[in-house]
Amino acid sequence: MNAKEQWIDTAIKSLDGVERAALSPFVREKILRRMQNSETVTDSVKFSLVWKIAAVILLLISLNVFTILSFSKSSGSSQNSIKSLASEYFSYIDHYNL
Amino acid sequence: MAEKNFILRLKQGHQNAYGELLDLFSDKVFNTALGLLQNKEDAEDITQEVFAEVFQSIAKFRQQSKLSTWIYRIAVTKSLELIRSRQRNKRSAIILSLFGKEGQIHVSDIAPFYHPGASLENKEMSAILSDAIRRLPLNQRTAFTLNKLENLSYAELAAVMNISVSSVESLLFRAKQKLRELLGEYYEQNMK
Repeated sequence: MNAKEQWIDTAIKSLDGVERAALSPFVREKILRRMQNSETVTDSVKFSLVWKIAAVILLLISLNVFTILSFSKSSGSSQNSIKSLASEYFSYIDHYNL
Repeated sequence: MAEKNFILRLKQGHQNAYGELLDLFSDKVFNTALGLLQNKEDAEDITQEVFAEVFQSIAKFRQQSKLSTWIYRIAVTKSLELIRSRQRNKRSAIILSLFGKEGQIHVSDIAPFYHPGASLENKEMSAILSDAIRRLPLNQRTAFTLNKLENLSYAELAAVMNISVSSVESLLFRAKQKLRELLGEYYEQNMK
């Protein structure tokens, strides 16, 4: 093996057995704090989200109740018009002996 | 089973699980990023981003792979994203310089990288090898770095890179061939 090939072999092996570099304790601490702070923020976001969803559901229920009540009032008056129409019709039949 | 319980504790947000996660993986992630990026500050930034991603995504982790595979994959992805964005910026700067804008471009202005874990007698040689590694295509660079610096087996590498074991073997073979070629050129230019 010539000098060049030997040199290349030595270069290729120069990172063999290299020790792992340690992450700075300061950076490690920063990462840990960030994870812990993120959890606190996530909790409060979840909490306000629950309240918002509850408010929307309550609104939907209220709208439905209002609609049902309005409908039942108007259907009461429409029932009266059907009755009066029916009685007019049948009196017409009686009047003309049809 | 132990890993499953650990992942469950992470998903449930147990505080001491975060500390354990860092104990197990912070140096691995840092060294992966350091090997790929060859810059301590960049590697520290990427390490922070990796754990932020792990923390945000752990609830969606379906355990189809090992936890270590998943974390290595995130570390590699984020490191390569940074390399690619720097390459794009460099290309834009070169184009701008052709039009006489944005000052001068220094193409080979990268300082030599001395791996903090390399032994004293190998420091210079390892810097030359690191420079050659930097010139490899990204997939070869990833395979070589993870195999050489993180001692990942072919099977582990295949899982991290989401390729077959035979593809890993091929990548490593081509990486070593290319490195020999680059080192040969360096020898011709500097050692004769």
